[in-house]
Amino acid sequence: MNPVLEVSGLWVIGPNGPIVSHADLAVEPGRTLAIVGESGSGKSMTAKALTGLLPSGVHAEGTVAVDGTSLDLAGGARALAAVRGRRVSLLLQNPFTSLSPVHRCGPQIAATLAVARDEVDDEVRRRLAEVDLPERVASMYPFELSGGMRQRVALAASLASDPLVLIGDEPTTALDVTTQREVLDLVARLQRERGMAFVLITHDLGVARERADEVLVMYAGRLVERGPTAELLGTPRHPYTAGLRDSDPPLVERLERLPSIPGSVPRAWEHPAGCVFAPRCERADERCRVDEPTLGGTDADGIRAWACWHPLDDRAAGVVVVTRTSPTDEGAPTRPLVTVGGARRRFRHDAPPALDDVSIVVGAGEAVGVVGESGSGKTTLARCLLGLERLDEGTIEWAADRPRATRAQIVFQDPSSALNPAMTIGAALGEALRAGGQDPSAVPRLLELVGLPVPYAKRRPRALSGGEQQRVAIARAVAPRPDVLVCDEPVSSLDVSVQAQILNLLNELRRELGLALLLITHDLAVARQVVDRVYVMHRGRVVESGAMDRLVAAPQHEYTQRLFASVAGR
Amino acid sequence: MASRLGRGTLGRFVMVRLAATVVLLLALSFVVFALLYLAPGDPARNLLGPRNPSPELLAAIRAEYHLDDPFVTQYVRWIGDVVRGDLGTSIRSEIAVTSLLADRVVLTAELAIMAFVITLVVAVPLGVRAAWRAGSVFDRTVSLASIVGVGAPSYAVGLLLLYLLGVRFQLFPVYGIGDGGLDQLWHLVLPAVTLAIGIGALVFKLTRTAVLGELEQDYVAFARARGLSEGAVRRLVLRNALIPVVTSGGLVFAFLFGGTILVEVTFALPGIGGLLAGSVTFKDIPVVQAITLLTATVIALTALAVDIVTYTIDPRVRARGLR
Ligand SMILES: Nc1ncnc2c1ncn2[C@@H]1O[C@H](COP(=O)(O)OP(=O)(O)OP(=O)(O)O)[C@@H](O)[C@H]1O
Ligand code: SF4
Ligand SMILES: [Mg+2]
Repeated sequence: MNPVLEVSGLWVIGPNGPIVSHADLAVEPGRTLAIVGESGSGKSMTAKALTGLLPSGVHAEGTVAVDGTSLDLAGGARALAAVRGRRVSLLLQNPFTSLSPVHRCGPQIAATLAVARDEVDDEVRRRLAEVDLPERVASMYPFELSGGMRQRVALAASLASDPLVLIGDEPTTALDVTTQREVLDLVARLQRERGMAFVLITHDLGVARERADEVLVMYAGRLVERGPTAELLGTPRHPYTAGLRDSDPPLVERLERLPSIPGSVPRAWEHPAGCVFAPRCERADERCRVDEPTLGGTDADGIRAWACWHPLDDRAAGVVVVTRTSPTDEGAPTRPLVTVGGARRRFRHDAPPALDDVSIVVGAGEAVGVVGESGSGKTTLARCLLGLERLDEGTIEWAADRPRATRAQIVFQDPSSALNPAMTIGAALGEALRAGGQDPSAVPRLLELVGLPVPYAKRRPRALSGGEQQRVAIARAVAPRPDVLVCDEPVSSLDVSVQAQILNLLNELRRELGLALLLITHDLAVARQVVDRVYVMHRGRVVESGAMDRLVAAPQHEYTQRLFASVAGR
Repeated sequence: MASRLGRGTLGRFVMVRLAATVVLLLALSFVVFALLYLAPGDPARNLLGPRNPSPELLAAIRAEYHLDDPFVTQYVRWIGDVVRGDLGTSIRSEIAVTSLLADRVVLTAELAIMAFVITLVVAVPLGVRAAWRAGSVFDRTVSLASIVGVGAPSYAVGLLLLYLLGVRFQLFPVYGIGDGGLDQLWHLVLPAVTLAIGIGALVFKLTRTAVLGELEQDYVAFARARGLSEGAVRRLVLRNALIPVVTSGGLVFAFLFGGTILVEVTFALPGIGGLLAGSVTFKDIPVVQAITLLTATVIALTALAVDIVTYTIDPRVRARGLR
């Protein structure tokens, strides 16, 4: 079959240099092409270039052929006006911002419907039914709908002009796992019914594995590997693809140590000559540092391609040595450190409580998880434990009567906002050491403990990558020697390859310092790699708790079953 | 959920906001009344003005104004009079404050409204256009002009306009209010333009910022990606940008009312502004009290109007309703 969308020689050039370099891609009717890559790899810019939505100061080069019509991408919005919406449509990440907040959903869907005026209402009704929404949604405003419903409205709006190709830029990343699955199932059904091609942009390998026929891997603005999904992920040729696959934590088993890629994702224009991946690649040699490989190497049938001088062979790629930890036992810890009993907290009278009769125990040196979807009360629980939020009812009992700073410390999701930008790393850590009554000269040791070079003490947070900043935040939290380290979504703003490093660090710190960990996360696979015992929260209540091993193998509660079943690609 | 957004709630919203406005004004009136005591010197002497009073006269004043009653009793009596439309007697001219204000209010209101209309008709479209073509020559020119407009003191602008359009080219009358009716409006054009320049520059900036902010929103990118025409995208953006523009527009109107003072003096117009300037110098406390109260009322009512308009154009505010 001929491709319905074919892009050749795409360059996206920004004020600092190329953002995407020489990308070719094609997708056939009814098929799904996933573009995967970490932050800054150029996925969204590719989508924007194809829809003529590049920000000012950024322009594209190359050609796109849609359904046989060839267009020059350098023409931007004007050149693409002929295909935009009508043949190629875009679905954005955030359903909370992608619809106009002051217009009703019906007219927003109707805006690009090609039907006579008096048939609009019927057609809107039909389109809503197509995305499994009731008729009344037409007269509702977006803010009256849940995230999943909004994304369905957005989907109906994207499809109103019956495009041949739908590009989804992280279309489900902002949604909860259970909703994510529903929306992706819906897109798959519509694809089948309409014979529509789908370009799925995602950072989530699990989603790509489950949904795509073919995968393109991008790194720092380059396409580094291409191939049919199962083969590409089964036997990656490019070391980056292999690293990305291996750092993605599995749900079924707990690894002693997650494979990770050293360093962090560079910016597309910030790389010297040679292979973009060379600074992080174990196989790099002299040639890699001088000559840039192109997506040339192909296998016998030409379907797969990679940009690497020393590709992995079947055997090397398939083997990742893992040590599994021994199963942990069920039940309460023998030496409780902190006990929360019957905690209740309600913020608004017209909303359900954030915490509804929650009881948890964290034992000395134990790693405990609190998992649940957005709004389930996880963060509120953590804040109450830290004394940052009060309880309406219930008790928090600490076994040891120690100063607050040495009882518990917290690590937040966004390290850049948690660190004072005006303070050097050394000063911030020194301050934290003093707060816990420790010797402030221990800063170098602290940096080593979290795997950062000692000279970093002189730097300010802005000069560090996201992963490095999170290491500093962790160092600052463990500095006063707390009994328990509370981590609220500590890796959810980090790239997969960096996430693995941080999860390994948390495991090491726990072993070395005898810390207890309370890990709060929406990501079950992340929790799986760190915690022994877990509490599953849903709408402010703990619906199930027990050993992680047991919950993965045999979840009891209906909600837990649904939650675990929704995890993509496993 | 949609049913909660029914029409019945607008009436309730207005009632509650109105009640809040009345409470606010009562509190303000208390402060205004206290002006008499906050002004330096003996209240009785202040009420008599710069005459040299005999002890009998002072005693008479004390009795007339009940100055020996407890403060609260005095306030209650005073506010009762105010509600009945009696704002006391001017010390300077010895006429009732109400009749002193009556003609002047009309003039000031005409001036303020005219300036407001000029501002809206000119500044809002300019702001929209500048935001739509951010960075263009048009945008940079108008933005630069607006910086000058915000910065220039209104009396200087007024004098310049007077000189150019009034004296040099004799397009507009330079002085006074004319013979009423259309001629009066004609006389008010220059002062209104003077007022509108500073305020208009502000409204221009507010509009430009609001529209620029909306243009960066995801829903605009999404609308374009779906193939909406540029005209349709514009309607979408303007409807959203209307909300911040209305909110700030109301504040601007309230500000205008106060801003007329300097302009009235420059153009020798017998409005509230001229009266206030004279009365402050003369320590004509009843008049100052009346004008302060009037201005506060206009501001409070404008805020009320803004709330009601916001309520009708922003469905999110409607859904939140009364809290
Ligand atoms: N300070 C606050 N004021 C009002 N409501 C709040 C406040 N903090 C939290 N909430 C509400 O409490 C509920 C639970 O919030 P919480 O942040 O604990 O959930 P969460 O599971 O951590 O969510 P997420 O995964 O999105 O961070 C939510 O409905 C939230 O809107
Ligand atoms: S070309 Fe060299 S540096 Fe680049 S990925 Fe291949 S082996 Fe590594
Ligand atoms: Mg949270």
